Amino acid sequence: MSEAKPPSKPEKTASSKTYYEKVNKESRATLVSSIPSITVGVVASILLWLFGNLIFIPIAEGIEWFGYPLPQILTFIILVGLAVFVLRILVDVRRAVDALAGLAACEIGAPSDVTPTEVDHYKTAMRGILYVIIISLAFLLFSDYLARIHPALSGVVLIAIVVWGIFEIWRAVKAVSKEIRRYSAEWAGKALKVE
Amino acid sequence: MKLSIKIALLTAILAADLTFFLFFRTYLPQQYNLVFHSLPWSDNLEKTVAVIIGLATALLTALSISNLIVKRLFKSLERG
Repeated sequence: MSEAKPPSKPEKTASSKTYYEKVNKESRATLVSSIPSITVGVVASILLWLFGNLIFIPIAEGIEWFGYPLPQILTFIILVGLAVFVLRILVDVRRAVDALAGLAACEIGAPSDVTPTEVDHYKTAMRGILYVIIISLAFLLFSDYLARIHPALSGVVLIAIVVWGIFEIWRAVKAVSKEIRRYSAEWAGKALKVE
Repeated sequence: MKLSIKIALLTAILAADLTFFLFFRTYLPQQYNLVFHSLPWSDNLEKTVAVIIGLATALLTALSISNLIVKRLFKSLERG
């Protein structure tokens, strides 16, 4: 049985350089394409919240549709709309964060020495932090409407977000600490070689 | 159609929509109710449909305006 030979040093350098260029180029393209849709999504959810909360729900007070109060029907419609917009934003943010992680790996790491594991660690860390920020902001949009459906609903969702947020931050810290450990091991190795 | 004309048209629709629901209802409630009284259906049904259509119109027009502006902005940034 023939064993696969490990790539010689020039071969390894060439492949890592190709990977570095690929990650750099793709990340920039993805970031540029995802920012406009994130902006439109954010504007759309804020407008929906503003129009709903300040104009149309006050207008709907006292109107009933086949026995159902219109403010609650509108609240439900606005909640569904907000959920759709927030999900779209999350999908785009995921793409943007992956691109940012690729760029961060290229900028922070040694030039032409980026590995998929390193990119994955940055992805996990950035996704975790940005998801926590976005979900917390989204909760501010939802909380009023949730409280209108049932006063306890807003509190229950908040508790769930806090628990999930702690878990995400723990994952992000774990990913970053792995990278720090890898870098410190590399630096220690180099320092020992020099001595 | 030119971008400026599109934006002006959408803004006019949004302004008309918000004027009817915000300005008329607050400052001219008699005229606001007159519109619903003059239609043959019950006021509650008319108002429900009007409010939902009003919300959808406001949202769609505002979204289209922001979409047009953001896309143009990023296109010009890419060129620059």
